[in-house]
Amino acid sequence: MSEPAVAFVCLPLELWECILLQLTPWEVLKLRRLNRGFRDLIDGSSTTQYRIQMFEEAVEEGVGSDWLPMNLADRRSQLEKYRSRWNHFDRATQETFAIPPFNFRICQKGYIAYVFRKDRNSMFCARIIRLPSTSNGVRRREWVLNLEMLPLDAIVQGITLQPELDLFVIIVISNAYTVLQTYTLQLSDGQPHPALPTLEVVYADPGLGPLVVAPHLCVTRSRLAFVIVYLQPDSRGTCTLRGYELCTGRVILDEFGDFSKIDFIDDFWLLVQNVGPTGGFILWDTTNPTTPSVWFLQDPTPPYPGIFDKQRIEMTTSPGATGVFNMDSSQRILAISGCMAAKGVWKWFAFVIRSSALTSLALGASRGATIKWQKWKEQTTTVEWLSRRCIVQVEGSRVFILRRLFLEGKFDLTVVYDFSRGARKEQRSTSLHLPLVGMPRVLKTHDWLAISGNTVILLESCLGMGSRQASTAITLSV
Amino acid sequence: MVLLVTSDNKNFVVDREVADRSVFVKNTLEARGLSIATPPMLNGGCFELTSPFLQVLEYCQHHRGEPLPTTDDANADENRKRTTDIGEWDRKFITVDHEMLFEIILAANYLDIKPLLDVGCKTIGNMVKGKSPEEVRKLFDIVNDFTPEEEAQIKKENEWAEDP
Repeated sequence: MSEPAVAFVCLPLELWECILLQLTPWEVLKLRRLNRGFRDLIDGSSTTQYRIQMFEEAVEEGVGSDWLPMNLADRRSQLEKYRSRWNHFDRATQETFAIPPFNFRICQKGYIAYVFRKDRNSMFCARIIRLPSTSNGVRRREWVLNLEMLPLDAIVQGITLQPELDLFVIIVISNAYTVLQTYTLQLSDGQPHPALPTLEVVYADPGLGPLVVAPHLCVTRSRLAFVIVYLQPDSRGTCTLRGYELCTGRVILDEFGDFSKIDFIDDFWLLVQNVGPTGGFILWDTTNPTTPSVWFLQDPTPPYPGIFDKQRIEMTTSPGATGVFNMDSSQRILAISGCMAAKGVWKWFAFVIRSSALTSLALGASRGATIKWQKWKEQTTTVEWLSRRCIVQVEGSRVFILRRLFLEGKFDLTVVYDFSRGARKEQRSTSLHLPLVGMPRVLKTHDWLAISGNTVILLESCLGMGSRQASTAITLSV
Repeated sequence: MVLLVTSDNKNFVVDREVADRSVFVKNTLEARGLSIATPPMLNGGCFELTSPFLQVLEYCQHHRGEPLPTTDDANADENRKRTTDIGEWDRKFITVDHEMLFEIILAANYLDIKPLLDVGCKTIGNMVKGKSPEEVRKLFDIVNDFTPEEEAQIKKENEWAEDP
C-alpha cells in the first residue's frame, strides 16, 4: 500500500476542487492547517480561494454559513471573465503597508488614520498617513501621535480627520460612562492644536444607560467649532443630545425636544454631519420599525436661523427595516446614500442636498423605493444601478458615487452631479472602471476607496486567507 | 458488446450500455465508430489500471440504464454540492481502503464518470467532516511539517472563520 498522505495530496488539483466543493469553507480552512502540502494546495486553487473569499464576504455580511454564491461552473466562468479583462487593465502604483490589529480607523480623502495598540497591553498610538498621489504631486507623509495617558481599557469612540483644517482629532471615551477625552494634532507641524486644548468632558450619568458619542468637527462662519454630540437614553426611552464648542468648551447644543420621543428599541443609528458653512446636523433615526427617517438639525450656533430646522425626511419602507448608510459633505453639498432592507428586499437610495440653495435637491432611489421630503420638492429618479455597495463622496463641487462591483472585482466611479458654474448638471456618463492591483478577486466589504483631488485611492485588504492586517494603497488618475 | 483493454493488457468484454457510463469511452467509440477502445496509460504508467478498473466496472454494471448526467445541466453542480448523501449501494461499494479510494477517483475522473467521481469526492468529504485537524492527520497518516511560527500564522489567518 502506498503512502496515503502522498496519494492524498498528489490528486490533481481539479479533483481536489471537487472534493473541497463537498466541504464548507470552514472545513476547507481546517484542511489548510494539516501540513504545508495542503496549505499550498488550497492557496494554489483559484476556485477555492474565490470561494473562501466569497465566504468571508458572506461572514462579514452576516449571511448564513451554508451560503454559497453560485455553482462551480458559474464560478469558473466568472474567474475566466476576470482573467480576460485583467489583461486590459492598466497597472497602478502600488504601496503596501501594515495596519496593526486592534485598530480603529478611517479612510478619508487621501488620508488613512488609525488608532491602534501593538497588543492588548500596549499603549494606544495614532498614525495618520497621507497617501501619495501621482497626479497631484502629493508625496507620502506620516504622523504619529502617542496617546500615553489613556487607560488600557479605554474605548476609542471616534476619530476625525480634517486635512483642509490642518487638523486630526481623536475622541476617546474611557468606558461607557466616564471621561471623554480628546486629542488633537495639527498636520502642518505635528503638534497639538494650540487653540484646542485637551478637553475632558465627564457628563455621562451611569443611571441613564450607555453613552453614544458622535464626534464631529465643523466650520461655522469661518470659526472652528468642535461639536460632540452624545445621547444617552434614559430608562423611559428618551434621550439627551449635547454638543460642545471645543474652543471654549461651552455647551452649544442641548436636548432637542423632538428626540425625546424616539423610542430606543434596539440599536440607534446616529450619524452627525455638518452641511457646509451654514451648519446643520443630520441624524438617522432607524428605530422606528415602520418608517426609518432622517432628521436635519439646525446649526446650533446663532445667529443663523433654523434653515435645517428639524426637517424630517421619511423613508417609505416595509416594517422591520434595517439600513446601511453613508454620508459625505464638502463645501455646501451633502450627499447621502444608503439602503434599507425589509423582508429580504433591499431598496437603495442616494440623494444630494445643496445647502446654499435649498431648492437644489437631487435624489435617486432604486425601483420601488420613494423618499418623501417635508419641505423640499420631491424628485424621484429611478437609478437601477444603485446598490448597497455604493459609497457617495463629495469632492469640491462634484458628487461621486463609487460602486463596489462585488462579483466583477472592480470599482465603478461615476460623477453623479456636478454643481460647478451655478447649475446642477447630471453627469451619468463619467463612469470609470478602476482596476485592482494583483490577481483578480472579489471585493471585500473592507476594501476602501477614497477620492482626493483627481486621484482615486483604493485600499485593498490583504489577499491572504482572511488576514486583515495588511493593506495596499494605490493611486489612480481619474 | 465492447472490448476494453487496460494499460496492463487485460481484456474486458462489457455491454455497450455499461461502457457508455464512461463519457470518455462513449465519446471515443462514437468518434471512431469502433467497438474497441484502448484507454491509454493513466498517470504516465505509474497507475495499475486493472484493480480499480474492476471496481469501476462493477459500479457501471450496477448503474447501467440510469440516465447519464448531461454536461450542460445547469443544476448538476448545484445538486452535487447540496447533497452529501450517498446511496446505500454506493456507500458499500466505496467502502475501500484509502489507496483504492484515490485510484477509483482518479479512474472515474479519467474515464469521465461523473456520478462515481461525486461518490468518491463526497466520501472523502464525509471522512474529513467534523474532525479536528489532528484527527484528519491521524486518519490519513499526514505528517504536520509546519514550524511553530507557521502554525501560529495559519491559526491567525483562519481566526475569522473559526467555528462559532
